Amino acid sequence: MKTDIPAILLAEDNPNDVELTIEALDRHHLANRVTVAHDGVEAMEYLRREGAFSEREPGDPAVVLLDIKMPRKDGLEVLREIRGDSALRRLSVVILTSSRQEQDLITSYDLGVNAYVVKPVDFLSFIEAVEHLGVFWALINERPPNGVK
Amino acid sequence: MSDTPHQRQSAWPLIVGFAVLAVLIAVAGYWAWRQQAQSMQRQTERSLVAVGELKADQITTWLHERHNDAQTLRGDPLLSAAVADMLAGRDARSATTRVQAYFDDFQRNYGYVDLVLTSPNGAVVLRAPNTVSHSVGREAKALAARATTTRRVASSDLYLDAEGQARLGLAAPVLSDAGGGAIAAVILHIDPSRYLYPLIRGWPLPSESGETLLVERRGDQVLYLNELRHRKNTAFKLTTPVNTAGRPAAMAVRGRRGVVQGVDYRGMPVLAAIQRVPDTAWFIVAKEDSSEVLGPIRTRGWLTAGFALLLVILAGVGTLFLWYARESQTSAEIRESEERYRALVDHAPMAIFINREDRVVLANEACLRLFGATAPAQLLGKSPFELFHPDCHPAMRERIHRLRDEGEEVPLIEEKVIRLDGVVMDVAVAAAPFQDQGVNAIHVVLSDITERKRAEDDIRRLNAELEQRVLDRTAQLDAANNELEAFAYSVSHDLRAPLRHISGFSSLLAERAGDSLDEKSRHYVDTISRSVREMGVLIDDLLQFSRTGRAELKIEPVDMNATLGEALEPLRRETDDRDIDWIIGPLPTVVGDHALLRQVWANLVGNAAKYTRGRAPARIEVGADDGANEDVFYVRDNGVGFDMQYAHKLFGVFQRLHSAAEFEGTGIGLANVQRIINRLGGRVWAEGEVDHGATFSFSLPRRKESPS
Repeated sequence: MKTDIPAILLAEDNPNDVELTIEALDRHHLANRVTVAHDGVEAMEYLRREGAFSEREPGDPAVVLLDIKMPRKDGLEVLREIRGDSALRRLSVVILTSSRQEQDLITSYDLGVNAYVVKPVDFLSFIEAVEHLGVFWALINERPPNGVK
Repeated sequence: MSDTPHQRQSAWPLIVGFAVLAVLIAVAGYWAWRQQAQSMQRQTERSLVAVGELKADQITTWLHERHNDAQTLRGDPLLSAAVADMLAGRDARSATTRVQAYFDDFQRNYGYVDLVLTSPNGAVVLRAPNTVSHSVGREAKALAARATTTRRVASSDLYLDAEGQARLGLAAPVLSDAGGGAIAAVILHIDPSRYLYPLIRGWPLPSESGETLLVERRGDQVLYLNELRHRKNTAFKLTTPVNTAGRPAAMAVRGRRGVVQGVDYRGMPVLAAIQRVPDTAWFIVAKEDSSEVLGPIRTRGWLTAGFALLLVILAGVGTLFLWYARESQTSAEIRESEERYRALVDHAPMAIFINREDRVVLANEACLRLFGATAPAQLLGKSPFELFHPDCHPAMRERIHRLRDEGEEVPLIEEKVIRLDGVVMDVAVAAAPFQDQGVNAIHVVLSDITERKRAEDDIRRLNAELEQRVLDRTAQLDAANNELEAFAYSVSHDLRAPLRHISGFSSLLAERAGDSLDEKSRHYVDTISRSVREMGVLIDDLLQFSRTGRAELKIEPVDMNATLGEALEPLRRETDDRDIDWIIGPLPTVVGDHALLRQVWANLVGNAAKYTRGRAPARIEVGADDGANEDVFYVRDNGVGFDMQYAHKLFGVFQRLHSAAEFEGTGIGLANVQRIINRLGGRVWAEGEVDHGATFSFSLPRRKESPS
């Protein structure tokens, strides 16, 4: 595998979901590129290389998979901050959530989300969905230029 | 009160009536007087004519008698014989004596001045009475000559004899026996003053000025022959020219007859009747002074005028009386009316006062009560500004200006008054311009609105409370809704997550341990996975059901053909492998919510497809009927149908007529359909028979606007 495959930042507080998501990504050997943030604050620290992530290698993830409902700072706030940050605003962000709330959908798109995916209850469907996501965003999608600082 | 305002009746009709009456009285009086005057004048004229005729008659008769006297002498044979004897000298003494005696008798008996026997040539032969010795005048001689010549009795005119006495002479011839010529003549001298003049002068009626003239023409003069009543010694002396205008005597000789008006010898205006004396040259003029004739007429005129004046005065008094009676009645009515209006104001339930020049000049009882005054003096003379709260003064000034100076109307207004005891009171104020004894004043009506104000305040407070309560309730409802919202979110998010985990890990377990698990264990894992899936569907349906109830309706025209098409498309794909006859009729356009109606169609045709599973071919018919005020849609299938006994359960939440093993489902779809159709104002119903299919119908009202 190419080592320069960009990372996937998974912002998800629920360990079960983290495990299942990583399991799904692993089917396409993308698991080792996944970094997990357990809430919005951690996600932003990772992206901005602050706090616990201040020592990490520079470089943005290919895609950020955001759960909406998280402690401290929820997914929509993270999305808003990303889009408001001149350094981060071109990041590909996918909301991956259990919520079918219309309001969440509308807010997400208003904030400039790249995709909104409802996690299927059925595991097979879920795996399918996450696979597609990972493959599309990490492997197929062409990133915007100067994505790496 | 229905009284009309009193109008002071005009006095003109009475004045005109009186004037007409006065003129009528005057005209009638004048006419009556004229009639009487004419009648009196005619009466006088008739009297004058009668007097004239009477005189003429009497004169004629008298002359005739004298003529007969003369005839007697002429025809007496004794006389002629004696005269013949005497003249012939036969027995002369006795003959003379006989003649003398005869003459004396005759003269005495018949009242002649004297009798003179003359010879045919006029020489005096004998006289009776023989004491008279004056000579026989020229007239007498001529008379004797005429009598002897004609052998007939001759008469003279009136004349003055040598002594200046008025005389009338007659001559009778003394005829000879032999029937030859006259041998002598007897002259009879008559003194007119003895009989004729008194006869003429006598007036048969009482009169101040009545007078009869005997006149005769002498050349171009008119001679007055008799003694006049009003001037003495005029006989034969007074003359007047024949052509004297207006002199009745002159008119007589000029040939006028009948009644004339003129001026007599005294220069007095007279009314005269002219009459000719037959067989003579004389004219009788019977006259009376106009003043005497007109006097009574004038008197009558004055009397009539006086009487008319009296009548006019009476009419005037009557008119005045009428006017006074009417005036007093009118003023009584006015007084009564005034009393009524005063009582109306005094006892009016509304407080009334008059503001004249910023002073209260009148206040009724209700006004006193309103201000808490016990006597009018407590209010009268006060300025309205003292009575009203200072807050109201600017508005009052403006209103007073408009009312008094502009004469405009002002609307009812609410103000505050200060009672005499200092209590402030809410009042409604109506005001109108008012003429008070010719001064621009203002008529103000107050009504106490304290109670109304209190009621209004109560209403306002209650309304505010109600509003607050509604706000509170709404807030509570909002809170409840938000709670529900949060609950739905939890269901959607939090409940689905563990489900997903169960599903995920059970699948992973099956994957990892699949081969090592026995048949029974694998069945358990499969059951777990299936149950999780079912619960996922159930949660999604419930969420949708709750959203259907709360989602805002978006009402617009909806083409049902297109909407049905959208709902059918995924279904047709799913049932591609089945043998289904779709019979889709034309559908009308309705007014409703497009998304919700699509959901209705999806539910109904989905059900139809589901419950015809196993039918080959399945037959699903969709159509519409026109109702009176609604469109009715139906979905008919030839599926398993249902028992009508349970029809009422079809549309309940979680109500199912088939087991999950027969037909999968959550029992929410039809409940959702009913909820949507009800929100759109329509009805839902179903007919069916076990194994003979079912028909699901819904109706939508025809309308143009959105429902509540």
